Amino acid sequence: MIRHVAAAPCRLIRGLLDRDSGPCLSLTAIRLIGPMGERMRHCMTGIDQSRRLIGSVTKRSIFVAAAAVVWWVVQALPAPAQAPALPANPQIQVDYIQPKLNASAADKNQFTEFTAIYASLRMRRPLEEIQKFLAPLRLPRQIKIQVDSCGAARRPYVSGNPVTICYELIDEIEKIAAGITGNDNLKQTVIVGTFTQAVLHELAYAVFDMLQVPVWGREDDAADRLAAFVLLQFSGDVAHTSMVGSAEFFLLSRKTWTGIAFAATASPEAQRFYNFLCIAYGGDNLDFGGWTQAPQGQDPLLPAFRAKQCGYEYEQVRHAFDLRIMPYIDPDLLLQVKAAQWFLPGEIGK
Amino acid sequence: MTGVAMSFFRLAAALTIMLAVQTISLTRALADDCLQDPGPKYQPIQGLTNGGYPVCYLQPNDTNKAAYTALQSRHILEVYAQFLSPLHLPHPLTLVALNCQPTFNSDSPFYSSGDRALHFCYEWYNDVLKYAPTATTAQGVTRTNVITGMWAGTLLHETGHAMFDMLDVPVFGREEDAADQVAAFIALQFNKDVQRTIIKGFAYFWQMAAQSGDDPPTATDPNPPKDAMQRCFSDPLCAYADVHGTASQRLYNTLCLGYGGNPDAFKDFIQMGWLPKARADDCGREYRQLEFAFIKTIVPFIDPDMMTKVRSIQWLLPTEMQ
Repeated sequence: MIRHVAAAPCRLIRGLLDRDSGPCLSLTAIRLIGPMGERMRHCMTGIDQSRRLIGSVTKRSIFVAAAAVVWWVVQALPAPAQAPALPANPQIQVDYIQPKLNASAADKNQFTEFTAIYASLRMRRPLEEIQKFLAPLRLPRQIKIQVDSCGAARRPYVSGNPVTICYELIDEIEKIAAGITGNDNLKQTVIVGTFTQAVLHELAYAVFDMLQVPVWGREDDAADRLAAFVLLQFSGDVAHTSMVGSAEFFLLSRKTWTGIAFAATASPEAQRFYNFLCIAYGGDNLDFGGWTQAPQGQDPLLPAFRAKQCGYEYEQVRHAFDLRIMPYIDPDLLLQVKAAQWFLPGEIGK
Repeated sequence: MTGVAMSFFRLAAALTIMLAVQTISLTRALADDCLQDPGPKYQPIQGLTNGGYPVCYLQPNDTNKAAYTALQSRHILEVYAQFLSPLHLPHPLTLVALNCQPTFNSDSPFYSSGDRALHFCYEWYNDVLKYAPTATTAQGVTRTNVITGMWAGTLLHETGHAMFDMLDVPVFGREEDAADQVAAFIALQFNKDVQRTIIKGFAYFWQMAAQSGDDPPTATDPNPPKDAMQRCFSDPLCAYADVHGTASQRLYNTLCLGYGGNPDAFKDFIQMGWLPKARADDCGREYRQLEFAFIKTIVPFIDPDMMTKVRSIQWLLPTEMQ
């Protein structure tokens, strides 16, 4: 047993067990605080301290934060942010498909929610930002990225068809974030980070297909590892928000898996949670080193036996990326994308 | 199952790569320490000599003498070295049978990049004999299926790690799943009897593991173990930190690749409800994706003529496929 999961002082690690346990720190803060004594002290000090710590590094990505529209459905919608001056990837089209009303009352409620998401997405246009973010990727043919109603959280990619982000998933992200009390910064991190990761995760299937990438291991995990690796190549803000937000989402959305459920091609949320922690820690053991530390008598969030091979796991993905995807990346455009400020100061974590 | 059995399956889940930092160098000492073949001598198959797979049986302790005798008299490492001969690795891969206890504190075979050696533990062989079912199961899995499927599947799994390491294979997914894929894919390149023996035996092993409590627990242990790793595996969240898939995931992955690779030979998996149809529908695509990865990343290192010869040989004895 990991004691701090059961008796967690901080939001992330007790989220599942006690959602209303009051203000506390997330992974975000844990990694920034460092020594565990500090961590405990900051946890005790509550939300203001947490906000300050998160806000000091977590700004908003233009494309990423557009995902926060779901949250803004119940907030005042800010004006669209200014995008970096980068060309959109000419091989990528985007579309927001208007939700359709079905017969049942449940569908009517869902229709209302999806319509609100649709309206916000149309205003914020996050997929257009992703077109720019992906400018360096030379794809051999055109691909559409769309948001659509799927009847499930995912619509598996089929070669030749669009990559789909489902309203159902965005809705789930929003609902998970809404369950986080007393920490608006963490809510936004979950929404922004998970949406970003989800888009890259879904796109990874198309990249594997179009670039004829040999995929060893389960494809769902491969898509996660590729998405995480890409996000870790960017500034601490992008990396941090997407890793922390996704990890928190997987933790809070995890279900109990038994028996035949394990026949799924999708991996359990808790397994994905550790995969993200490990790739992040393996890629940057300074920023994410707090996950391997624990107070006296407690276990770390990322157990030592896994942590010690995270550097190997990260390098394995980097090696695979360099061999199979890097040849399709325009190096000059890559530098421009990396240099662009995808997160604007003060728009998140304030 | 007993606590001992659970412990075995937990360890069995390892079947892993051991990173260089954890290994000790065995190869330098091997030449002196390897046991002489007491005879009758192994008669190599002509045309399948590579030289890249030195074999070594190290002295068994008293507990492992029977395992050594069984493996050595079958010439399991010599046979496997010839089986691998079409694969041209850039460095020799040493095949070692050894006592893994207490040196490695595990019964589980492993590949170590530090000495480029595949370590096949005598204890592991004993464990499989101990826990293999004594009667044919509801799925039609025999004791022989499990024993053969596990020693063959284990050798192939560890060879997967060795290939990934030495051939610089791009591995986007989780390496342990990929190593299981290597085992299933190679088994599926042989005749139906071999396919069914290894796929059924390997899959059923993970079912036994799941039934023994090897899948992550759903409730917190009120008396968590003192050992940090065991404590983690007893926790409903932390158990998922394992680099290996859960026992049930490995079961279904194996069944799926079998069915995906040869639907005619394995359609009974669906008929008996062992492989859920929802997963089965995607298994052909999963197998083709694996086949594509194998062709792209491994096949360039395989001698096609030697491979043709290897595929024509009946590697398993009739008694090993019953």
